[in-house]
Amino acid sequence: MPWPNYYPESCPPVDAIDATGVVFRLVKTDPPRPSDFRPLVLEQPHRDFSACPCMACGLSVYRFEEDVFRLRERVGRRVPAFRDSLVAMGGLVPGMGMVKATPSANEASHTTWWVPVEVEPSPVFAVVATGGAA
Amino acid sequence: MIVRRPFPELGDLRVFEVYEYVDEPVLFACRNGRDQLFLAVLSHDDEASRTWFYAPMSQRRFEVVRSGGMDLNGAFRAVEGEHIFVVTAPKGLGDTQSGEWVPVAVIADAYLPLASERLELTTATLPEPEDVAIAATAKQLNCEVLRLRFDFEDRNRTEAPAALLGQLLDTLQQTLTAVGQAVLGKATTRGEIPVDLVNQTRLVVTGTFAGSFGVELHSDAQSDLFGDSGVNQALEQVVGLLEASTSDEALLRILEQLRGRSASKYREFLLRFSGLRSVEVQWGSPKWDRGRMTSLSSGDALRSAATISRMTPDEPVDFEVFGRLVALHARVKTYELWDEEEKRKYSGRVEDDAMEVASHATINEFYRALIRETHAISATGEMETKYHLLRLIPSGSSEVSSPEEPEHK
Repeated sequence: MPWPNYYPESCPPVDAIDATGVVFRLVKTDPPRPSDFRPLVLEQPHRDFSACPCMACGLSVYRFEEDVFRLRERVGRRVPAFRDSLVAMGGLVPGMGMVKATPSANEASHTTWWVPVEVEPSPVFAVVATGGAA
Repeated sequence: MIVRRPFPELGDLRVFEVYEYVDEPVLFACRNGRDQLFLAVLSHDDEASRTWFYAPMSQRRFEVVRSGGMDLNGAFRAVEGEHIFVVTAPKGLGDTQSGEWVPVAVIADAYLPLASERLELTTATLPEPEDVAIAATAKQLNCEVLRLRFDFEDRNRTEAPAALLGQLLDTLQQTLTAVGQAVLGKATTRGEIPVDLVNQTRLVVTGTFAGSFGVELHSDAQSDLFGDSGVNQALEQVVGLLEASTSDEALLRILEQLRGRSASKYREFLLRFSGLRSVEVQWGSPKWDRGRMTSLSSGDALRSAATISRMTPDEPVDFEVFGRLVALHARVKTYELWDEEEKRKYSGRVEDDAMEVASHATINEFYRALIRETHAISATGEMETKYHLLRLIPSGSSEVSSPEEPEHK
C-alpha cells in the first residue's frame, strides 16, 4: 500500500494488521466529510510530533459500539469540542489501510487506523446516532 | 510525550497524564520546566482552527481536581489567578498559533467542561512512609510501633473523616487498655482502670502517611532491656483478636480467656468499621519474637461484632453505689445519682421495687443504691449501657442492698 509522504519511517508499525471489519468513529458532520478523517499531522502541521510521529498520522476508531457511545457521552461532558459529536460506523475491507489495537484506560477497543494515499474514508461511514452529549 | 509550545508563558510542556484521548490527548495534565502544572482541554474545533485552554494550578489544587474534590468546570472557572491561557491553532499551513491570557470570567460555560463532571482518580496527598522496616523502627525507639492503614469509603485523597478516625483510635486505645487490664491485672467490667495500667498501655500518634490513610502510633511506655513491656503483651492479644476475627470460634476462644471488658471494648472498635472498607495493621516490636502484620475487612469486623453481641449483652451486673441523689422524676420513673467514690453519675430508670422508697427520697441526700447494669446493641448498631435503680436505701440504714457478688464477664 502506498502511504502518504508525511508518514515517518516504520509507520504503520510492524505489528499493525490489515484493516478489516466494522469500526466506529466520532465525527462532526452528517454525513461524515473528509475533514472528519484528517490525521492530526495534517490538521496541525505547525506542531511538533517528534515524540509520537506515527500515532499523529493515525485515526482513532473503536471496534465496540458500546465503547464509542460511552466515549461520546463522557468526552462530550468533559471536552467542549466534542459536545455535539456524532457516532459514525464504517466497514473496512482489505486495501483500506492498517490497524493496531491501542486500548485506552476507558475504551478497550480503541484502535489506530492508518489510511493509505488512495483511500478516502468518509464514503464508507454513516452516522448511526445524532444529538449532543450534554 | 513532549509537547512544545512556542509560548514563553507556558514554557516547554510535558504531558504526564492523559484523561481523554481522541486522535490525540484532548484533556490532560502537563507541566513545564519550572514545574508549573496545567490542566488542558480542547475547547473548540472547527474547519478553520482548534482552541485549547490551559488552566495553571498549584500541586494541591491539582490533587483536589484529580481526586474529584473539584469538578472539571470548577478547575477552569475557579482557576487560581483567574486567568487561563488560550491557544488558537489554525488548521493546515498558513497562520501560526496564537496565545494569550484571558480572564476566565469572559468565557462562556459552553466552552468549558460541564459542571459536576469529575476525574475521581485515587490520589495520594500525603507522602509515603519512609521505607524503614517497622521492627527496626521499634528497636531504635525502644517502644512498640503500630502502622495502621485505614481504607475509608468514598475517599480518593489521603484523608480521613475526623470524627470516625477519632472514634477508631479511641476505641482501639480502649480495647488495648481493657485487654491490658486482663493480661496484666484483674479484669473488671466497670469502674476506673488503675492509672498505672492506663499509662502502660497508652498509645501516641506520631505521624500520618499515604495509602489509603496511614497513622503511625507508638507506645508511650518504653520497653525494658529485653524488649518486653505491658503494652507488648496487650498488643499480642489485640493483634490476635484482629487475626481471629475471621473465625467466630477462634475469636470467642480468645475473648473468653480475656474476660473483663475486653469483649465490649473490642466490639465498640469493630462497630466503627461501618465507615471503612478495611484496615491493615503492622506491628513492630523491640522484642525479637513479637510483631507482625494483619488486616481486617469491614465485613469480617461487623460480623465479629455481631458474634460478640450474641456472647455478652444479656448478662446483667448488679452492684452497689454510695452516692448523692441528684434528681428523681417519679412520674416518668427516672433518677440521677452521683457516685462519690467513682466520681461519676449514674442515671436511668427506677424499677418498681425501688419506687416506694424513691418516691419519698430527698434530693441531695446520700443513699446506698443497688444498680443493675445491662448492655444491648441499639438499632444503629451501637452499644448501649443502661443503669436500672433496683433499690434505694438511706445512708444511715442497716438494711442490706446487694443480693450477691456481681459477676465478671
